[in-house]
Amino acid sequence: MDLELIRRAQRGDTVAYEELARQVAPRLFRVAFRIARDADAAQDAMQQALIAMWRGLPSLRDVDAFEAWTWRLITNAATTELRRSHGRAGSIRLLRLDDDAEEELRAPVEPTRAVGERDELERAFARLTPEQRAVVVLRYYVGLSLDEIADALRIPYGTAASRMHYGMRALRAAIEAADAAAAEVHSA
Amino acid sequence: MTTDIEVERRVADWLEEGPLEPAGWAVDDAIRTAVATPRRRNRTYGSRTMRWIWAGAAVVAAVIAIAVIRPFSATGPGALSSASLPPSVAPSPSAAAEPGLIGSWIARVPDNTVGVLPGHWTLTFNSVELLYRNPGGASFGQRVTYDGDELTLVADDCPTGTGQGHYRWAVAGTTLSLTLIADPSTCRSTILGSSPFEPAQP
Repeated sequence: MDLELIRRAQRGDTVAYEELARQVAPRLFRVAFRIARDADAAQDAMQQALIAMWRGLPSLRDVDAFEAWTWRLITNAATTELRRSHGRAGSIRLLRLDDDAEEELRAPVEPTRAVGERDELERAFARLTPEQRAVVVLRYYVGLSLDEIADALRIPYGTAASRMHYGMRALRAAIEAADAAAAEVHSA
Repeated sequence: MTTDIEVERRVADWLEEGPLEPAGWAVDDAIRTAVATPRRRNRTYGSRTMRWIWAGAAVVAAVIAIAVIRPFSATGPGALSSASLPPSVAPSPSAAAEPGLIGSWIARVPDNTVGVLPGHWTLTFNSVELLYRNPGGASFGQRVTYDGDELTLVADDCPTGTGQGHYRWAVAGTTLSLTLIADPSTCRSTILGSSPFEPAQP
């Protein structure tokens, strides 16, 4: 990350902010999608995080902590969106289809593993709390350690570890259920 | 029994699936809204600097207090520095958001007798707020709710009348038309009535 770009954005340079926002937007979106499992909610969360980034940059004392700070912003935004989207489940949202990325966004994910396991994982993940989801995503998608997650989210290490434990326990059960179902099919 | 490493690997593989890029318009909208949003104060100043900041803030507050009285006025301090309702609320897209309307639009408000600053006004609609930018560069916002092709704005502080404003909107081609249904605020109806609005450059 270009530290000078961050400093310029901190000082209110809107050109620098725009460049910075365009750099970080894709990874914020990817993380938000993994937490929310919904492209609309992920885009909304990304927008919230980008706006929070602009507003909060002057208060960021250590530009080296910028990346960890953005994980916190997107996690907060995604968990908020997740709760909100639960409240509007079933609603239909109009979409502007004026961007190539939109098409990619809506394209079905290429099946790369057994449908059964993926469905089990989706269902198990859907039952996790937003906070548990966030910790799992930061650990196994972003690749942060539990220490780094605790630091980024400003939560005690034990809290991060506890969320990880319960989250992974549910996902393990999902994988084992899928394996059992697959074995049953094979033996039939 | 599946090993921990195997579970972690399969969870990581599963998380890899999914979209990688947000829609370009979503990033554009966020950037446009962000730079129109006030920033938090830097909290790293020393105490002496803070005293000056607080003194400055008191002066700004006094100016804003005047501006609140006449936010749309062409005369007085409010004409160029109005900030009656700073757009401090980040947009929070909801099911009621109207994508055809969301974005920034510009139109020229003609000379008028109600005290609205003539010149180019920019309106930026997001899911919860309408942000105004007057010809002097000052911004302020009002909460907005949508119902199909109608929108409702909260009461403002126009000297000639206050109350909720109701308008019908329509986007035809690249122009936005706002049609007055009812609005006791002649300040606002003068601005919104300056249709058609064209898309504003970011």
